[in-house]
Amino acid sequence: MHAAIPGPARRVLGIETSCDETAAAVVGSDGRILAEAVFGQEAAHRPFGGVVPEIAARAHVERLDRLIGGVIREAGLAFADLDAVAATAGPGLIGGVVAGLTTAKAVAWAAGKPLLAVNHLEAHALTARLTDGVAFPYLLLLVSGGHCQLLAVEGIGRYRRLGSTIDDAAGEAFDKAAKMLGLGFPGGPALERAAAAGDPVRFPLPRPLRGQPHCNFSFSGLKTALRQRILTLGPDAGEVGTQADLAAAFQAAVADCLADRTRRAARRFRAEWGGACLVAAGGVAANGAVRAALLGVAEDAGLRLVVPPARLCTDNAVMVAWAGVERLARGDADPLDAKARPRWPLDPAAEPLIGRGSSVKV
Amino acid sequence: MRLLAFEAGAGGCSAAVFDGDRPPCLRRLEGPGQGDALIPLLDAVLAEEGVAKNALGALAVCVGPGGFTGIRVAVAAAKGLGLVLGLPAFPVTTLAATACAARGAAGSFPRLVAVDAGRGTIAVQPFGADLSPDGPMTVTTPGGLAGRPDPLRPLVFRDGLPPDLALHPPPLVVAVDARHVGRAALAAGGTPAPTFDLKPLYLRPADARPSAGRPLVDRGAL
Repeated sequence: MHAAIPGPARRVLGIETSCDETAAAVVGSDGRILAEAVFGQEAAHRPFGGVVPEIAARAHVERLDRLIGGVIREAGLAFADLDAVAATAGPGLIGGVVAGLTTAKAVAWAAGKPLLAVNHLEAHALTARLTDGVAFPYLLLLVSGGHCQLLAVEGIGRYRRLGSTIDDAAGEAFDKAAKMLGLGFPGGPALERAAAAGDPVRFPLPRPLRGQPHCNFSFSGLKTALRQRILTLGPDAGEVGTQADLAAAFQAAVADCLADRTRRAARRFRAEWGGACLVAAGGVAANGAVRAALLGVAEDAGLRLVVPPARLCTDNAVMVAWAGVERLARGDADPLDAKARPRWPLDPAAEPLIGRGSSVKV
Repeated sequence: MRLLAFEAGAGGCSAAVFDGDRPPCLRRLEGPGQGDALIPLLDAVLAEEGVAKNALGALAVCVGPGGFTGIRVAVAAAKGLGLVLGLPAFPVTTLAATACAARGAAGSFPRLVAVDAGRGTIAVQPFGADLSPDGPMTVTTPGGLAGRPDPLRPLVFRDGLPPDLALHPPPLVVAVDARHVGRAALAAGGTPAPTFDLKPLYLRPADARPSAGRPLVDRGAL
């Protein structure tokens, strides 16, 4: 089912270090994953209730070389057999990006291979082409701990943003809600587990921006509503059943918001681009309630929903290697002084919206 | 042994090739953005010296203390090169490199070597007449440094003296680059280690405090 890039067979090493996953993978232009490894740092960050950039950067630089050596060996290759080295060059936590990109440059230069400085968001965006051979154009909901946006994907390097969050990313909202509920870190999976036993309608929560004509998101007010609800309940909020109901209510509200905004974007996408697929990517796309809500949207809009497997939705190096494969096939290569970029929007023409509040007009 | 030495300090980066008895060939870049430019700099210095990458015998890399980003850039580069080229590396501290630079500036030894370690701290280490460390590295403050002048161990400071630091007598101040990193590695002798073992030398734990406040829902309190 996966994609294959026409032309000579190529093998690309991918490196990902933009948040708290240290990852390396080797992917072929025939779409085969030859090796992949992820070293998660959750235990190191858990005492702090969130990702600490300096802890992440330190762990990346110490782990990455062994991880790369491991995937090269597992793929049965030598560095000379590679056709390119691809690494996340942003957006992300800059200390980690610098560590990964510098390692990638050193490997590329030492092996005499081209470097591809990959946009982490583009890597998420192109994953569905690796897993399901999705053709351009398609509608993408990119939804993770750091990002929440709807994009029309027209081609490699060609994106039009249809909507974006004006405050928190959905995954960030999940993490903060889980923290309020005492569910631990990382919050998204913990909240989903708690919500499984809960009643999503016992505590009504708002659906910010639902029905608005634009395609933007807002999760800040939803977070505040949950906080108020917990404070009103007092110690009762800690009762296991109540905690599960609150988690289920929050998850249902996020899923509804994502579905409503995506429904709006799907209408526009069908009218203006005419593609056939709705793709969800990013860590929040691994959430079952979100997937179910998006399936409804896709069916109503006459689109096929494609969600890559969970391990390729969360941060990973397979997607970076694949973005490298796609860009290499176009003849791309980046210079060895390519810059690490903390911010790197996919659609540079779109205005930043974070902090604009409800005054946003699209 | 042909040695490629490099460092990425706060003010730029530099690289030097040591090939036998010839004076080392140096290239340096001033200014920030050292992470972006270190690898092209290594390429340039090897090309200038006419040394092929696979003709190198070892790396020498400055592991700190220093700016966190800079020392990570240098260590990440060394680890990537070591992995692909199969080269071992000499980890060199900023203090050992500074001691070498002081010797080059006709400074007599023994001395107390000091480098600014950021946030009002200074890393110091005594070095003996043969340029080897006479004791462990410690961290002090400008006040602590001013309070213990030792005529037997005059102070040498890596350039970038904290502006408010007025010492009497004024210390020798030296600029440090990759030549001193390479010389310190060669002077120390010993065997270079696999680059898998390389780590940046941090003087402070990561800046992080355990999550503030308790969750709103505290099951433990029930």
